Amino acid sequence: MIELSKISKDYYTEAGTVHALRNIDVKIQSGEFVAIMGQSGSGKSTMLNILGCLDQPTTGQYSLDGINVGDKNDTYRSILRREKFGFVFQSYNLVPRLTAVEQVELPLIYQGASNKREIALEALARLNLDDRAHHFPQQLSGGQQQRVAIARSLVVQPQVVFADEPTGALDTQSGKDIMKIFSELSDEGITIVLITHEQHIADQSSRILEMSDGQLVFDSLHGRNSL
Amino acid sequence: MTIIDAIKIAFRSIYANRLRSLLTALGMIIGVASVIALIAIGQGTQQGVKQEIMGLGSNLIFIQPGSSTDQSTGSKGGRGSSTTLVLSDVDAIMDAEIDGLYGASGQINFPAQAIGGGNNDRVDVVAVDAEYAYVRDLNMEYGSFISDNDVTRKAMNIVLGHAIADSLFPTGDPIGENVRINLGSRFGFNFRVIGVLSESGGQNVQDASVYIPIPSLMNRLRFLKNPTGGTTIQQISIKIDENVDEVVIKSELEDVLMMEHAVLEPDFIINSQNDLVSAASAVSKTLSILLGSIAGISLIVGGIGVMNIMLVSVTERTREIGIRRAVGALSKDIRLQFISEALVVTIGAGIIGVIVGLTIAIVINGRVIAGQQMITVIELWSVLVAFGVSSIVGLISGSYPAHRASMLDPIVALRSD
Repeated sequence: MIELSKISKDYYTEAGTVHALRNIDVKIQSGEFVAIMGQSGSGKSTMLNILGCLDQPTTGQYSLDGINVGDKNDTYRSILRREKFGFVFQSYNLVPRLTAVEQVELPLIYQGASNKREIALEALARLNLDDRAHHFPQQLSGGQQQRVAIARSLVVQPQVVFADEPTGALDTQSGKDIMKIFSELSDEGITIVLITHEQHIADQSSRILEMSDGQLVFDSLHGRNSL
Repeated sequence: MTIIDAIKIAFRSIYANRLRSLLTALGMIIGVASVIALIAIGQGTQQGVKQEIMGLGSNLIFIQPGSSTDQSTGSKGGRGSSTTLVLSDVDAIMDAEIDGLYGASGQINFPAQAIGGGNNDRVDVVAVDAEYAYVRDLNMEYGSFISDNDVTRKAMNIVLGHAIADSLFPTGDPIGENVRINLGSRFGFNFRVIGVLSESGGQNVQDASVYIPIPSLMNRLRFLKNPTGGTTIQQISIKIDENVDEVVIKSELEDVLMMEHAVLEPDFIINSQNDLVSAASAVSKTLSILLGSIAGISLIVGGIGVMNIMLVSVTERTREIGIRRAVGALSKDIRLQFISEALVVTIGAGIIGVIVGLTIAIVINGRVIAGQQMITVIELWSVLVAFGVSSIVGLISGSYPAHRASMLDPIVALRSD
């Protein structure tokens, strides 16, 4: 279970302090499918980065399964990402020189797994990419690349998958396919936190959070006027 | 991440940038190869000089004239420029009956052209007495060496060094043949060949020398007379008992000659073979160090090249680093990856450099380059030093870029283009 309490994130620039997040309180239960919506600059990416332990809050507490991870060191947070989290990005973030199966092997390399190739091929097969295992990213369509990225996030059997506008760069049909995969993952009990600014995408989640100006302004769990 | 994974990743990225990696490695390859080849040449030169000096005969002491001082300018001439050593000094040394002194022989050297058997060659003429063959351990292939009788009657007889005999009379035994010795265009003298020396081998000068009785040209060539009327000689060779302390003999020789010359300070220089060996070794050791340092500098330059490329590589792959961090790479995993990459390049370059360096050393060994016979001696330590230094250079030049890569903020790295 994820619990954020009084989380704030400030960026210090020459132009002054930017309050990217202000006093965020939110709990996400295991297995929830959460969609975060909001204008660009509303702080949703910052929120996702903090949830995914890619970034640290300036103040406030982040507890994961009861452990305060917000102030843990870089190594601890790296290990959390390696063992418990998966990431999917709008721009896929595949390494250009690696084949699909090698992309999927990446997290396994850092885990020190022994039968990497086998596990990675299984993960690709699950996303119907068996026949694309030895293709490079530039030889794959956007939808296929995003499926490789999802396979990479799933290969470590994560507790939570964080997705930052995963369908943002895809055509409608590919976007639908990707969302279907997320629904299936959710059905399997994997917690999903997904950023989108398309309502029809958000509608497929079990809970919608809306952010504005660094604050949480809406939580479908509590209704529009609860916050 | 295991070391094997890190090395695999390193090979992947080196292969992906083949040309760039090769050019980067080239600096190190040249550095390592030149360390090995140049040290082999330096060591070979050192050994060659040593052999040459030891090949002069065993247990020798050489006396040469001191340097002359120009009375009007006070400037000093080079070693041997003075005319203080005369033929009668040899008799004085023998008369002193120094313990452990087996023999002494004076000599005069001058370059000349030798014509014989329809051929001609440049030779070093060595005018000597009969003792010379004994003092310098010369062996005969044909005929005999200059005798006391030849010296007494100023015979126009000549003994040829092996290489000269070969070049003038390639078809065989030259005993009894005529050889003309030309000094410039004005003087020419005819000699009869009475002997040929055995081959000395190596770079020894005796193969390219001819020997004549010391008085044979004495009355015909003015320059051999010094102002006092004595016969100026260029060197006295002395053979000593190897069990006797050479320092004692050197000091006795000094006393005898100072008395003979009636001087308070020696106007001559006494060197033993060991003195010459150590002087020559010191020179060629300096040469080795110099060559090694030049090569070492090229290794450092190569290392700077590696660091430069690694920094470029880190910058180019910032996003990749961000991706790797996002999927769980620890900061030290990233450091290991980039250090491995630098090490694979430099160790690979080191291995190729060792092969190239050894090949060069082996190929040029014994060949004549620019009129000089090259001798190379491959030293194991030079291979180890070159390889070790290149690995250390790789480690150092990879460390800073790897550290920069490992310190990147994952978020910033992910956002970079």
